[in-house]
Amino acid sequence: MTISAFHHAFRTGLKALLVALVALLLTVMVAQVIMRYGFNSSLLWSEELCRYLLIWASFLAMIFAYERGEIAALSILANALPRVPALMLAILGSLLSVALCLTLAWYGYVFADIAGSQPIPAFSFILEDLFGTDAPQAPRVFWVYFALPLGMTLLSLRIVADIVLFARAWANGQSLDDLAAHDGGSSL
Amino acid sequence: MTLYLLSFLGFMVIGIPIAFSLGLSSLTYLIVNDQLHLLIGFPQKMIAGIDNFVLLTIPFFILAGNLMNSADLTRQIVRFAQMLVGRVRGGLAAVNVIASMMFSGVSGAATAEASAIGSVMIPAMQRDGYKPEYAAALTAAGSILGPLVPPSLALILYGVLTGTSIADLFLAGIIPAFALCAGLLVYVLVKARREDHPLPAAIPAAERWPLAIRALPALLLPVIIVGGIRSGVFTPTEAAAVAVVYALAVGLLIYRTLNARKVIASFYEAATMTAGVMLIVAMASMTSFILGIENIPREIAAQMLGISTEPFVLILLLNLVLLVLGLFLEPLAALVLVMPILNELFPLLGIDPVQFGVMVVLNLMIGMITPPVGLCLFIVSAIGKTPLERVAVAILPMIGISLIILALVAFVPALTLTLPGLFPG
Repeated sequence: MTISAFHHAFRTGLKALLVALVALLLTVMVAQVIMRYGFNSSLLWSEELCRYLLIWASFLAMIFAYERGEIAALSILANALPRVPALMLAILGSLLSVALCLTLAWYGYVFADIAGSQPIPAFSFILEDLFGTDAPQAPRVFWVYFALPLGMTLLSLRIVADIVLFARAWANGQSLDDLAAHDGGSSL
Repeated sequence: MTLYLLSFLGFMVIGIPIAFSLGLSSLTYLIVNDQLHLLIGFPQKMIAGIDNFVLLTIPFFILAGNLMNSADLTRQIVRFAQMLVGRVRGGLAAVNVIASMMFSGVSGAATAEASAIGSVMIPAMQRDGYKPEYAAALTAAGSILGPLVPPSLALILYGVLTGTSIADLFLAGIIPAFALCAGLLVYVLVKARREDHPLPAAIPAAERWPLAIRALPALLLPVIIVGGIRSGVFTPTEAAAVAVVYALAVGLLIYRTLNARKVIASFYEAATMTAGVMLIVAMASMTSFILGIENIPREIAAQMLGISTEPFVLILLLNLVLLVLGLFLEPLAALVLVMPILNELFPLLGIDPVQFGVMVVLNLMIGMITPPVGLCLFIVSAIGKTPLERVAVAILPMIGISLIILALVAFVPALTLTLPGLFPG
């Protein structure tokens, strides 16, 4: 598999996963309403599970949020500057962003490792519902918090790709606007 | 503190996304003050900031709005607004305001509203001969109706941060939204007389009823949400999920304009838009923690109390501080940051928490339509392909109107508290 084929498969897979996570969130929430009104019994684990799904969906989607400009930024200075300084500024800004993401990824991992030793209560309930008293051990809370380091690592890789683009544009005599026009065509 | 503020502005000016600028300033603060042991608390605060059951309403309300928009509902709303306005001078501008009002019952964020209404109304107004900066400015001003009418992400976040009833907040925002809408309408019609704006074409009588009926599903959504929460049928989170089911049903069964591809795209977009919101809330949670370490909330509160202890003066001062903050901060981030300060001051103001919430949200939303950090301005100037500076000038009178409504919200409790009182929980 070539790198670009892998890249494409990865993006498609991640998008499909995000759609599935949101669909699951919706299903659990609707099931909760139906259970309460239809069967007069609440799902013990639904609220907690939904919170974790939200954390996972949020951190995994950050890479696309960044691409689509959902993470708002000011472009006033970049628009006012000539080509090369604007590109230099974009590279500097991206490097700083990468530094932040990597720091958060590392400390996020350390935090998950320290704080995440308990089994996840929601999964314990679900497994007990399924298997009774000899239910297998539920996964640790670590796997909830792991969304943050994973999401931040992916995001930093994505921003590094942008830095490469900026540097290449600098070398090829293109401007930020050329890149933006190109992005518009191939972002999805 | 000064270091924090300066580094934040610096990062933001060089084009680093606002959320990252907040995070980088936090990092700078920890490094400069030799507090690196607190770095482990950074991810913890981030997760704690978004790990909240009521915040789940955010992806659902975003998703419901996306689905309604891809079901071509915006166009239905605009047609219905055209029918209501009829043949008056400056009619299309009035349509813009009324369509924004109707759309605000579908969308929870000003930015989503600016892009949905803007993409239909700005080109239409330009085609009719309106100045592009006027069309863009009007759309931006109308977009701040979105966060005042249920569903509203900002009111939800305020409710989460303060433990105020979401249903009360939702009800309280409605009359101020109508007041702002009315203010904008008067402005638009007076301006149309003076500057001789074009007359729109009339809609044939035979088309009128069908248009009204087709727009009805959109207008019902806020009723279902608020009614469902208020009557105790749903929790806010459940109501948000029900709103999604409703939007799916409307798009698939009634309009039949949704298909699998559009639904999947809406789910994906909802995930990315939610991620954008969550990132800024997460980063702001760390900033709020640092402000707490520095005892900033108490200091600001003490300084304000040093000026006066009169509630009237304090509310005025607080609004000024918020307006300035709103110039530089995105509203949701600002909400997370100012909440500790507000908590210090709140007991001294003698104001109802629900009224206070609507005031704070409206205030911060005005920052969305003012430079330098006015996200709605950026969106409309991009759609209208017109320079930001011109839009910023064209919107000044409308900001004036918003400020008048803000003052009314701040000092006339009846504006916000009448509806929650009429429909007690």
